[in-house]
Amino acid sequence: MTEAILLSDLTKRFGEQTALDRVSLGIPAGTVVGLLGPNGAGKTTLINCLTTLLQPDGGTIRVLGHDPATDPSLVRANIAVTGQFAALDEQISPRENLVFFGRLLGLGRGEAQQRAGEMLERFELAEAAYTPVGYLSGGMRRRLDLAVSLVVPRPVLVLDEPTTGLDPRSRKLLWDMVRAEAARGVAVLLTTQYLEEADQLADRIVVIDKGRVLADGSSDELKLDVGGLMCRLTLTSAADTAAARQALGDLPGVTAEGDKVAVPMARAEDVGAVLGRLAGQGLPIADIEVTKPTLDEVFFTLTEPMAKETTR
Amino acid sequence: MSAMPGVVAPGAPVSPGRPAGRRHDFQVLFDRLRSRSFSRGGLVATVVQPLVFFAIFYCTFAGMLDERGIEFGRFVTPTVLVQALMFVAIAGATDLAADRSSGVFSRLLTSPVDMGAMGLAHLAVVALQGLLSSVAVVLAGLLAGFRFDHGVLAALGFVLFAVAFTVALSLATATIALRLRNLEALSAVLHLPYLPLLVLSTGFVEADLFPGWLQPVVRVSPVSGVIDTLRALSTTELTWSAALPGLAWVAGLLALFAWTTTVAFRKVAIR
Repeated sequence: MTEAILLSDLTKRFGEQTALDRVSLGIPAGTVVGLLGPNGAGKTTLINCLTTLLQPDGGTIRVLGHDPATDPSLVRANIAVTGQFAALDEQISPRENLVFFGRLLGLGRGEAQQRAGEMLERFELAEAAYTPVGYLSGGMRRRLDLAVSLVVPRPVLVLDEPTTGLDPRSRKLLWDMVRAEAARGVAVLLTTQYLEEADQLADRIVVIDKGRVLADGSSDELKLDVGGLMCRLTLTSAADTAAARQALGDLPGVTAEGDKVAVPMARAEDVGAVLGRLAGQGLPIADIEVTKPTLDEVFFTLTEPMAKETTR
Repeated sequence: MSAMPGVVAPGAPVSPGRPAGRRHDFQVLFDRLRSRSFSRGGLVATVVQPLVFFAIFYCTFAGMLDERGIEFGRFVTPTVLVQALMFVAIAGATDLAADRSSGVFSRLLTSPVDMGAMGLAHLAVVALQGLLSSVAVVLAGLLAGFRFDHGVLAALGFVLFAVAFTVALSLATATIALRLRNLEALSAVLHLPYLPLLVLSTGFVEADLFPGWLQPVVRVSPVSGVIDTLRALSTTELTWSAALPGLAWVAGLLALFAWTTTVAFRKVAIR
């Protein structure tokens, strides 16, 4: 078995609402998978099921072959989790937090002390080692939260929006850390609101919405799936945007913001048809550019039909 | 650097982990809560606060009770102790709620920590705090005339019973802390019942001195029962009829709230 995490047909309902609808997903050791989806897509529910905080209503979960339903403590012993909000004892110092959670994961007192010192250095927290956590800045807490999750390395690392609220320097520290963990064989699942983060870090990206997997592949594969190319138009006047959208209305995945309109295309030749439609409506164009789509555009293209479905 | 079990040098492959076991988990969880309860804030709650109350009650009531031929130290020491133990139970629940709101609780639930060890560590620390409060209040009482009239065994029984009462009460407050998410609401719910329970008991005044319609309430109150048992084990006549209601109350409360806490914990831990 090569998959460190294996989800098959995972289903979770809250009353009438289906939060996860037959989600299947495998993450091999040494791979970073980015889980993308709008708010309420089911990302945190998926993580809570995986980390034994929620019991699924259907499907199976395996973590290193262990089933959370029958062997929850073996699953917990192999997953390091960092949730959306820092989970630290605010009354004690960073060092004491690291020692406490290190010991809970099986380290002896001496080992835990030594390990805490190393983590404080690695996460640039040595200066604040003895300050009660309640007095630390948001960024420091976030870094400490990650340090606590990694104080004893485990084969699976789950990060729920780990860089929310981090400054660029801390974010880079975290990214380097995720890469280093993956390089030594840790399977990483991370959710993020920042598509750039997924593009940078993830070997594979899984897009979910309304509890369903919409796409699963590398960043490049997803960009190809959505339409190999993206035609970006700048109109001479933002007042024309609505008319332009209407002219292109039947093409899939068209997005508009300000005076800019983006149209996914399968082939570069299709640009002629797009320009023809706008010219037909007498809409002048200031600039045109044909490139690969950004991950943002992939995301909107994939999740937009579902958003329409709900508003209907 | 030499290789250590469980610690992996940066870059080295990670090997699968195993839970450390209940005994280890209990020790680690207990150490953290114990050091919290022996911190400055913790000692204020368990030792300083009861002593301050003792002094206030002494200044207010000692003269009044003396006129009626009642010795303050002998009569009121168990009452001050019961009040102190109520504060221990409230503080324990507040700590539990703080762990829930800070996310420490969730982190514990996603760590390979034995769930039984979590509950036992909480109760063991509460018991230790109850013991600490008991010693402080008894020492203050001894200065004010409190005595153990029935020998060492009864004195040990007195302390043991006080600790058992602390645990029973802490199970009750833990149930509430596990059911209520809102910290302000929790504080109100925990502090509301303590004063009526204490005043409507035989703690400060004999049941006969209450208005007739209140007397049945005072007589059946669990707080009256507990205070009467503490008195029987120290200053009043040691008979089964005096000690039994309090013992029965504590045994019943232990059983009831052990059950409600387990149910509430399961509900939080396994959704």
